[in-house]
Amino acid sequence: MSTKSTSDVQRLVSDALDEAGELVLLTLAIVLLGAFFSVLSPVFFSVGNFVNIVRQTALVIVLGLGMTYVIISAEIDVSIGGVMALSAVPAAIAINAYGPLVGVLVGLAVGVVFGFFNGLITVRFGIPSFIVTIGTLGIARGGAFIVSQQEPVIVRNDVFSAVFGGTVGPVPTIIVWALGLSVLAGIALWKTRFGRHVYATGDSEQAARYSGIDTDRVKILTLTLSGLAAAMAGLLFVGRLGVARPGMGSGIELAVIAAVIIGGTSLFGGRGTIVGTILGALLISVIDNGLTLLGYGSSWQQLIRGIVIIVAVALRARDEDGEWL
Amino acid sequence: MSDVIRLENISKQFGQIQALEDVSFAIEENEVLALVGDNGAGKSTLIKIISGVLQQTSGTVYVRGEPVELSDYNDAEERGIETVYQDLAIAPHRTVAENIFLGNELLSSGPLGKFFNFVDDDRMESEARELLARLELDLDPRSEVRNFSGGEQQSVAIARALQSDPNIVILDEPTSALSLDATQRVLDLIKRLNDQDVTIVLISHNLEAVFDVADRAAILSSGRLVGVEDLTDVTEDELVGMMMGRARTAAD
Repeated sequence: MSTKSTSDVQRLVSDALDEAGELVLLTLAIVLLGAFFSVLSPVFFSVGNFVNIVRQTALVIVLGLGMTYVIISAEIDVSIGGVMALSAVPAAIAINAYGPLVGVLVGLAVGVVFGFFNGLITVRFGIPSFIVTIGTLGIARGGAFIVSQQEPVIVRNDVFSAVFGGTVGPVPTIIVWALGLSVLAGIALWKTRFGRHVYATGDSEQAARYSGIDTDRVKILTLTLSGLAAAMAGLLFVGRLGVARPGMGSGIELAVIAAVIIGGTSLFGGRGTIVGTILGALLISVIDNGLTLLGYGSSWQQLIRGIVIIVAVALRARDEDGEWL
Repeated sequence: MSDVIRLENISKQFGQIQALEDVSFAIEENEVLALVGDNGAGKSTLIKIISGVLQQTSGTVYVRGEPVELSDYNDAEERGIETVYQDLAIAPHRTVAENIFLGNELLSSGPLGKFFNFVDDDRMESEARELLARLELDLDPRSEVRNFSGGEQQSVAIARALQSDPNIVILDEPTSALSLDATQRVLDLIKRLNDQDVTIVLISHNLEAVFDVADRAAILSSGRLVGVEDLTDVTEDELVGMMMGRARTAAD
């Protein structure tokens, strides 16, 4: 097999362009938007503001790690905002009562249990995860208000605040967490057997099953990871603000799903990368931040974000032959 | 020749429906056996029993003389039986190499790799390249499968079945969705496999293809075995007659 036909080369090039080209385009879009905002606002182009952008993005990235796994396996998880709150509130109570270690474990356990429940109900009863997680979103959000008795829980613990809300030198720990978790999630998805099974499950569930892959197990695991990511985001949120509110993370699932989709993950499953999700989250943050600096508030941010989602997905809406739909 | 698979009085009932009734015949070592019959004759049910996807209501399957219970896909795979299904079970956005090793990924040999179950893409790629070369398939193991034609995709599916080095490969309508040209290439591939001592069970509606590659044909009609014929002894018309349920008594 020494010679290679032109069509083989073309195929390889087109595969590579599809994957890497999208990431390059996204990076370019972020840089161009950054340049645009830098010209319009003197504050935008500064180290302080960049740290600010990345810090705002970190929470969406952490949530996006789990969501990327879920969507690649052709499921979805809209419960993350509620699970974030229901993990954070009892975690905060436990931190105050029993110390940071117990508190963190309580928070993560709640996330894992909810994620596992999402997965189990989805595969055992054949209910679409979209429906299941709408249900658990309500359960978790309601639960958070009940557990907190409608009151914010203020956390007073120096160790917890330092680990989840402090800084390492000039860098906020939330950024370090997001970066570290991204590397882990990225390598696991890209290079491990489990990662391959996640892709295969979303790409063709039938092919995966015929090959002896337990696709039910894969889906339960991706949804459990998403629950774990939600709990982790809840802890980081509490670390930063020093308080767990039952209403926290309301509506954040839309920003997270948007970041994942803009990052090139296919809603039909089987395609996507962690790097794409990070870039997608950054793009949204740059737009939000730039608009804020220019004096356009959250209503404009929502409007623009909506347009960006549609444009990003439309740009990829091509059929298998690469033709525009 | 010795039997690799022997079916003894296999019956399968789905509720009120008798899909297979008292089917007995043997598949011989290194032959190409065609399984033919009209829609609903019970071909799919029979191969699903042999490949462990379905379990018979009564009767016994023998593999190399030994009675076996094939309770799932893995049982059959362990005994060297692989199936390529009609509905092309491939993952379109994965590469040829990844599809070939789907569910059987090769892992890195280092201690870290073993602990974390890291896949060894280089080894999978080179082994896929070897396998493709052995099958004389001119496909790049690094290409994504979605760009391929129907015939090439079918070849990938067959190559995947061969990755575990099976003795018996069951092909369910491998040419039904293919052009004439692609059909011929898949048939050539079947012949090459057979030359490499693989026993093949071919389910097909395409009688021309059956006569081209198969040694014998087992004919099913309404869940019953009408007969097993040496294809040098029967004409296409006689075969069609048997598929309609007429036993070949007059001619014998």
